[in-house]
This record gives sequence, C-alpha cells and structure tokens, in this order.
Amino acid sequence: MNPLRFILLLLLLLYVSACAQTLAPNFAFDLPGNQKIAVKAKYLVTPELCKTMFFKYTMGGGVGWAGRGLAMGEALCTGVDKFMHAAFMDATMVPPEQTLIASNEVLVVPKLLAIDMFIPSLSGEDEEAFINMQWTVTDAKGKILWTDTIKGSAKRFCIINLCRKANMEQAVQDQFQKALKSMMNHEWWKSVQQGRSER
Amino acid sequence: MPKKTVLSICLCCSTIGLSAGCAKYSLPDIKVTSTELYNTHKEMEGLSMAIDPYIDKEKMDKFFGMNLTDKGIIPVMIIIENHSKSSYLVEKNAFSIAALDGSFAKDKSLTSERQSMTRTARATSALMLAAPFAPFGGVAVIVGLPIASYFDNKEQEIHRQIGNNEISDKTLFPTESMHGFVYLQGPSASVLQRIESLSLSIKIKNMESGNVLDFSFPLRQK
Repeated sequence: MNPLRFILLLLLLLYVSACAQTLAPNFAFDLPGNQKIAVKAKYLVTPELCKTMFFKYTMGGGVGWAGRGLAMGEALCTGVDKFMHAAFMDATMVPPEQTLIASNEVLVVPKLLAIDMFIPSLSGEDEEAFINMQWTVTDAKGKILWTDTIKGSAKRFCIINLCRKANMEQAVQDQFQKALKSMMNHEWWKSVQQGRSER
Repeated sequence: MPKKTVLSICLCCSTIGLSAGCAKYSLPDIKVTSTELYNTHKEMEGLSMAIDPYIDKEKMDKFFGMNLTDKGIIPVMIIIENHSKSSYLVEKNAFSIAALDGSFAKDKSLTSERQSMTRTARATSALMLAAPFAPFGGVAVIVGLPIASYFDNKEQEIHRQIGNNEISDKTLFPTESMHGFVYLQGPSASVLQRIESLSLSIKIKNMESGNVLDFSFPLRQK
C-alpha cells in the first residue's frame, strides 16, 4: 500500500475511534452457589446514573474522549437491573420518589463514586480503567443492613479508543461481579426474613 | 515523499521510541500489617484499630510522589480488624478531627482536591516543556515529549495512588478487616506545626446493638 494512503487510513481510524462511543459490557453473572437471596428487593436507579458520561483529558489532546465522551449511563443502569435480578429472587425498580418499602422488603441503592482511566503516555505500560460504586441495602426503617464500596478495574495495552472502551467495559463487568460476590458473602438478609429488623 | 523527509520521520519516531522508557513513573503499593503491631493500637468490644499518620516527608515522597503536608493535607492510614461476633458499620463521615485551637477543618474527602492537585499542569506541561526547544523544530518534539510524558504519567499515578487507597464505607463482618486513608485537611501549609494539638476521632456503629464505639487517637504519638 502507498505509505501516504496508509497514513491517511490510520488517521481516519484514529478519528473514528475518538468519536463518541457507547459502552456495552456483557453482563453474565457467576452466582456463588447459584442461590439467590430469598427477600423481596426494590432498587433505586437515579436518572443521573443512566446519563453518566465519561470524559478523559489527556496530555496529547488527541486521545481519550475529550469533548465527545464515552456514554456509560445506559450500560450502568442495565448492569444494575441485571445485577438485581441475578442476586434476588424478586427485584423491582422504583423511582426516587417512591422508596417506601414493606417490612419484609429491602431497598438497594447503587451510587456511582468515580470513573477514571490511567493512560500512560510513551511508557509502554498497560492502560488501566477504574470504576467505583457504593452499594447500600436498607430495611423498611432505613437501617443499613449491608454496605460496601466496590472497585472494578481492568488493564490492557491500548493505542486507540476502541480498545479503551473495551477496557472500561471489562472494568464495569469486574465491578458488578465483585459487588455480587461481596453482597452474597454474608447472610445480612436473615433479620429481614425472620422479621426482626427493628433497630 | 522525499527521502530526506522519510528519514527525518524515522529518526524522530525511533528517538521517541527509545526514550519511551524514561517516561515511566510508578509508585509502590501501600501495605499494612496487623493492628497489634502499631503503637497506636486500640481495642474495644473486639474491634481492633490502629492509625498510621503519614507525616514523614520521605515516607510521603515515597508513597505519594509529593509532600502532601505542603498543601495542608495529612494522610492517615486507618487499619480496622473485627475480632468480635458482631458486625460494624464503618462510614467515611464518621471520621473527624479535633483541634484544641479549633483551627482545623472537619475531615474532608479529597475527591475534588485530587482533581485540582493533579490536573492543573497536565494540559500545559507538554507545551511549557517543549517551548524552549521550539526554535530547533524537531528537537522540541524529541526532547520535550518524553519529559512532558513523564510529568503527565507522574500526575496520573499520584491521582491513582490517592484515589485507590482512600477509605470507603463498608459493613465489617466478624473476622473481616479493612484499611484505607483519610485525608485530613487544614487551612494552611503549616499543619505539621499544629499536629501536637490534633486528634482523630472515629465512630463505629455496632449493627446489632446500635452502640457507637468512639475511638480517639492523637496524631503525634509520644
């Protein structure tokens, strides 16, 4: 191929790769013991979470999603939905103004704390994507039954943004998988099942 | 394309490639040991806790790549172990600083602070570093880019180190342990001068009984 054409093609690929992209992770949950939590759960997904955009400004200015952004909100909300149905036998999404629950139910609130990407320049190191989410489960009286802050991360060597998008998808998957593992690790739901969650 | 231009491009690319290793910057992992091994160790109702304030300049340079106290910030590592049969609720907003002279602010998350600390120079660093070489054309790129990359990587690494090690909210079940930094922030760069009068208060709630355990640690250990 003519070197000039090759360079033009490369530039075109970089330009297309830098356009706004939408995250689409594959949510396949590996449920520990294949046993769902036998409690009715309601979960809150805020409109802000579903509109999340990630912008990364890097030294070169030409990489990252400066200005255009990586649309993450839809994937995060889909992730929460799939997570809840994977973890609980009965899960229903509620709007922010309807968070009252019955005594045999729990309310699950996921909160996005941070998203970031470590893009080292000229060092040959792997790039790293991060996402931190806080998960809180409360009972009908607002008492916290379980909470944890989960850090999802993924590493790979990238040159173009399509690779960075895949890296972020992996970090998001990692976060949801770790959150599920942490949530199922201790039987905090016993008090709700036994109807003794008064304090 | 003229042969001379192709050769120049190849020379630039290979020089940048060869100098790429110089742009690498990494900070060591922060490790903790058992609470009992710290001289700040305290235990209440089976909940064991210790703090490790990072006030030594060399230690801060080693793990954070910069002296945070110059910015009025004291990173304090908190280590908690649950040896009891109860579950405890650890919340970030349950950490507070007490100052005898009342001059120190309540503990503050560095989320926004991190942004300003690490992002300010990033956009301009490449231009500033390359500027003196501008009259020399290609030399500006060859010399300026790896140097600017090094500083850019350093900023990102510091940002990552601070963020990844910040303590977070968690239910601490029996036999579990956790650790992380709280970043205490004062009004000026002279925090170390007032450290004798500062103590850190940490309130942890027993999730079964509802009792709140109040741990208090002087920041300067005698």
